[in-house]
Amino acid sequence: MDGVSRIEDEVCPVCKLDTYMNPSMRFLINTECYHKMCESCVDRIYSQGPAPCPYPNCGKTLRKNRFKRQLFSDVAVEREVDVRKRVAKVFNRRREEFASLSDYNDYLEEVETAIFNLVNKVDVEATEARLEAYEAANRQAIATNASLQTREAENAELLRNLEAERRRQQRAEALEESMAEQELKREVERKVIKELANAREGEAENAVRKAVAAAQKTVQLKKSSARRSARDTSTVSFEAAALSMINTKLATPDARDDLPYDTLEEEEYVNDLYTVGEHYYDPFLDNIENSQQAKAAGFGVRNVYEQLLFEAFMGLGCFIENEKVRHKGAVTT
Amino acid sequence: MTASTDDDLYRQGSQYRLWSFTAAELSSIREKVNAHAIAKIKREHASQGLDDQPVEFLSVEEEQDLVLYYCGKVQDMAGVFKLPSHVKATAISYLKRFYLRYSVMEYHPKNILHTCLFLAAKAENHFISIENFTQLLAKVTPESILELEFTVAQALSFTLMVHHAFNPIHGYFLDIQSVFPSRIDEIGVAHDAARRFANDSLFSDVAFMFTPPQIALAALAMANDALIKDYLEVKFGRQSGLLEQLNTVIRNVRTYIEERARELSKERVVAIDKKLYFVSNPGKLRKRKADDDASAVNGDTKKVMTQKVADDLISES
Repeated sequence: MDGVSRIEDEVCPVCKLDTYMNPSMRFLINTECYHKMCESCVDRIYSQGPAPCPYPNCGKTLRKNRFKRQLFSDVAVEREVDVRKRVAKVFNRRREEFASLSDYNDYLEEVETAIFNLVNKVDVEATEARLEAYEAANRQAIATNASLQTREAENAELLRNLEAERRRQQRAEALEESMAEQELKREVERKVIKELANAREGEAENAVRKAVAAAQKTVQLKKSSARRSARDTSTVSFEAAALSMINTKLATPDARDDLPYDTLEEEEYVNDLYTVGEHYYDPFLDNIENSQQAKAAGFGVRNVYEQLLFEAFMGLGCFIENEKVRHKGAVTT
Repeated sequence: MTASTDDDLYRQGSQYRLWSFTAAELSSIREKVNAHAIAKIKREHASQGLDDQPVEFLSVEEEQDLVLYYCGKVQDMAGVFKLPSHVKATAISYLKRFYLRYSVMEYHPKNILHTCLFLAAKAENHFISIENFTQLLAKVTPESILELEFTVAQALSFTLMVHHAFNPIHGYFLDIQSVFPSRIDEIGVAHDAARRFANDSLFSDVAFMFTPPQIALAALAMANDALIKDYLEVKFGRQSGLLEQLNTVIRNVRTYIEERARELSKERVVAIDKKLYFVSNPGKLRKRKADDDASAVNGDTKKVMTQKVADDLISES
């Protein structure tokens, strides 16, 4: 089975040449009909201008500049991806543009329906017409969103590059540090030998101890200063880059600038009915408080306090008898 | 977007959205379920040609008493498996919620309760394998539990998370300490007693009508009225509206819990179950009628019948 399909994969269905005869053969497809043929066939047939597809019963007129490499081995997938790309170019509204999630979901469903129709050839004309009408009606919005998308992509790319640069720097520093350490070690050894050579008889042990202590001190000093300077340089450059990026982002006008600023938007809610204390008398939780395992896992008795107090006040002010009256009859069996 | 409170958070949960009702709603739901089941069973009887029998259907109160009896059974079984109280409480909630969707005349609680307990153990992260589970129970097979599992989960609208009053009681145990550090002994005693009252509350309908913190406060108030009064005074003294509402709620919860504290008599349960037996087997009624006629001669057939149903009930549950 495998062998057969392999051979089929490597034979051009138009000229029947295979990769054995021409190892550099590449296959191309056209987005009109997705029929596969080799590069030389494309050159041969379409160099003179548009011509019909050589597949029997196809007859679609193809142009040379519309041929492309096949990315997916399954033609159906290839085709769906193309359709998706095309539709997404037109229907590029964003979540922020919708007042509610359900509106957004309705819109997404509409888009998916269009894609499904085009992929499965249901109501193709009607769908195409809708696509065109939408494009004509929303030309401005589409362009704005497209530029927004490219900007986002650029920002992400920038961040990625910065991160990679930072990692490279860190690696270089680590390498340098380890080299310096080795150098120091060698130096200490040299010093010890020198001390030993100069020391009088009977005092050798003492002399070595003194030399080692002195050497260790210098090592530590050098290490910490090296680390400090390394950290300073790397963070400064990274922070500067991030800052400049944020600044450029602020400078470019946001599409949502015209909305009124909502002061509560980013404010975190804190229940003022209670505060979580540091310690309570609680025989149930003693075992957590004293457990090394819990502490090692980053879990503490305070987490339990928080959870219990949260549950004690969650829904305290929900008076079902008053609140549910307006929903009367909404619940059916 | 405005910051939402913890109360709003609770309002988004399934316990509030799907399983919280006013008292009036709750009774109307139960009536509807009862009426719906009676209509359905009547149709079934008619299709079997048994509609000539004078079948006595269960009333809403009788249904509720039977469910309550089986809630007690859940409690006993949880003891057998040594399950912690929140698992037991979840199982009882499932059983009570299930019978807001179906009538006991459609699904007998003696079958549903095992599935509820099994499902609750799973949902509360206290898994017992089905083999271990059935080993300890007589007349129960893995199949009999699992075939009802989906029915139960569906009746629960797949909302398996249940908030109980136990954690809030513990939370108040901590918070009252920070308000009255010197009354620690009193608080400890109240906490232990309140857990018992919270357990009693599972048998009432308070979980449908009040939120867990409210039930917790009521349970604590039942344990030590003065302590909670002082605590609420300190805590909510400035918000007199809220304080008043909370006091009303606590009073109501106490009434509901105390109302349900009475024991169900075994005779009543047996009588209800006998009725239920004839609802699902109307053919037997015809036979009984014949027996009754015969009992004019031989007086104790009916008595034997009653005894048999009672035996069944006890051995099966």
